[in-house]
Amino acid sequence: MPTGKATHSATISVPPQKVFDFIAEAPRATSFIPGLSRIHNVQPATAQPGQTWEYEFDWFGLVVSGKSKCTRSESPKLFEFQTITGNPSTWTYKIEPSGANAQVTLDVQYEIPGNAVARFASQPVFEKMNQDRALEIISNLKTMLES
Amino acid sequence: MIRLRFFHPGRRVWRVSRRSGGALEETWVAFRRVPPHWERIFSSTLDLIWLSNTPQPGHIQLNHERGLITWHERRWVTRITIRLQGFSAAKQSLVATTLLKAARFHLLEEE
Repeated sequence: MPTGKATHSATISVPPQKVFDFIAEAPRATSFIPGLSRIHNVQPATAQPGQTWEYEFDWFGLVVSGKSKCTRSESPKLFEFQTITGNPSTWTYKIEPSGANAQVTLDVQYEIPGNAVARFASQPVFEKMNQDRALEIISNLKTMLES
Repeated sequence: MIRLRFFHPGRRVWRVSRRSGGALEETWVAFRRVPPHWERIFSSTLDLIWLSNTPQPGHIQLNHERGLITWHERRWVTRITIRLQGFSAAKQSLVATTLLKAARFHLLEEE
């Protein structure tokens, strides 16, 4: 199956620890990931590698639900999880100091499902949509933390 | 296994009006059998996104004059109004959307 990658980076005017703390609590993701409707059944409650949760995602009109697992949690530098059911993807947030602020990079690697590509006509269109989503996520994160 | 659905049962809370200027004001209606614990739903959501708040029966005040959430129960419907102010327009919109998601999906969990 072909794979794709979406990445976006921005400086957020808060300390890296604050960004990490905001990202690392899984249920909070509904506030900055467009289309993510719900996170539930988080086990255990504390963020750590091995933590799992269930998600529901409204993907352009389709409700997609599945399970995710935290694979790396290195405060305040890196938080990573994988979707372990459905379409496989790996989401990595890297947080680096930039003076008193944080340089945040979101990197999403995913498999491109053939049926989704067929629905949206071409692989480049699908990839552009995911790239736009990455940009929107980082932009929303910046909005939530700065203002 | 992944699950796909075209219509989600959470779509029983609807945004019926939205007005933005300096403040964002929205009205929602929620169709439900039994009134859920709105105070807990909204207060825990605001706590989650680091917005301090003071819950009261029938309404929640965001601290530092950042807004107000009120709800009025009728037999089958709850009318919810939110007013957010003192944030950027973008943040007001994100907070409103987060609260709307919470309203929709807590209903499912409480049934």
